[in-house]
Amino acid sequence: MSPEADRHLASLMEKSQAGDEVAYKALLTEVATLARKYISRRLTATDAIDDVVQEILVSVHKAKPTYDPTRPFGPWLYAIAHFRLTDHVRQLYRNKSREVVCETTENLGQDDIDLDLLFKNDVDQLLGTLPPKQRDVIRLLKIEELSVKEVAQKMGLSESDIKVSAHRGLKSLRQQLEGENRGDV
Amino acid sequence: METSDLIKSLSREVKPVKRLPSPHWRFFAWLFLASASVLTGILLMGPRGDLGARFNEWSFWIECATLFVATVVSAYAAFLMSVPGMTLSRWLRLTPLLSLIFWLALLSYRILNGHLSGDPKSITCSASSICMQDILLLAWLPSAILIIMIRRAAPIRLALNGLLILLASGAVAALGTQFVCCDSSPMHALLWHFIPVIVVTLAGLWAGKKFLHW
Repeated sequence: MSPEADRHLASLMEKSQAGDEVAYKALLTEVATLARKYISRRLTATDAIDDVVQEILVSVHKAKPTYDPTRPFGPWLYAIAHFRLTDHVRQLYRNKSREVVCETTENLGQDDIDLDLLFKNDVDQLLGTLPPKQRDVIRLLKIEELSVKEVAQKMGLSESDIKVSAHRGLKSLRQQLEGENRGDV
Repeated sequence: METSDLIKSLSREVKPVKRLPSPHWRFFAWLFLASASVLTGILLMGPRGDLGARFNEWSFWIECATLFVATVVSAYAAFLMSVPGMTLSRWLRLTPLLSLIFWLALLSYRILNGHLSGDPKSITCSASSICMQDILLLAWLPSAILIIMIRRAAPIRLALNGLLILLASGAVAALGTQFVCCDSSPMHALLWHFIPVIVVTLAGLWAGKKFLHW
């Protein structure tokens, strides 16, 4: 990133911190382009690139108060991008080990247990461990299959609040499932 | 969801944000709170009776200085690391480890010196876990405050950050224990002060991943 580009992004971020919507949109658009370039050089699975880019955008949104405009923007952004990329790769390896566990459970005699009931109980039990807001958001989004906008209206919250809650809730569920699977293996 | 939709949605929700104070200020705030918490702990537990005599021993002051350096440097490094893009200088990365090595070397020297000079106190110690409990009691509040303060930023090296947090908290607690513990034997300090601090520090690797993820 050239010094001029860095200064431009730093000034956009300074305006965004002050609440300028236009500057923030421009900043996120440029961040998405830079993040996509950075990720696509390091990740071969093209279908995952968008996911990681979106994770980076949400992280930039959350970490906004930590940016100091007197410091260069590039190192701040790439540190976040690297963190999310590492996180994604780690997740990928964990999921692979979970797939192995799932394959072995598929071989179980299905007549022995009511899988639907087991699944429903498991989901209820897992959702019960989440804070009420995250639990309701995930229930509405993933089980009742409402859109983000509908959930936001129903719960009287902003759309980004819904996305952040869903993101945190799903992450927490994923971590719990991984914990259980590690115990199984 | 498309990336462009996410950008639209995030930018629509933008509000003025209060910038996080610099790591230096946050570090001084933590140091003040941790010192106050440990001082209160020392007063509640009651300072050791032979404190006046210990003040005349060079090893007491060197141990205190080593623990103070470990506390300050590891907490400062933890605050710097919690801001993306901040880099740690080599000395800042090495000093926490060096201070622990120096503490171990100092205790080993005192044990060896006492053994060679035929002082039985240097190699015997009261098998007491009270000091370990004191360290844990004195460490929990500084570590909780530090974790909360670091979580407000955006830590990106979670395990290392957790390690530094618990090293800073363990070291400040061990520093406080120096003023409470009545056993001046170096073997006691090694078994019931040094090792608990190492265990607490290593637990930071797990705690960082558990509590700092955002």
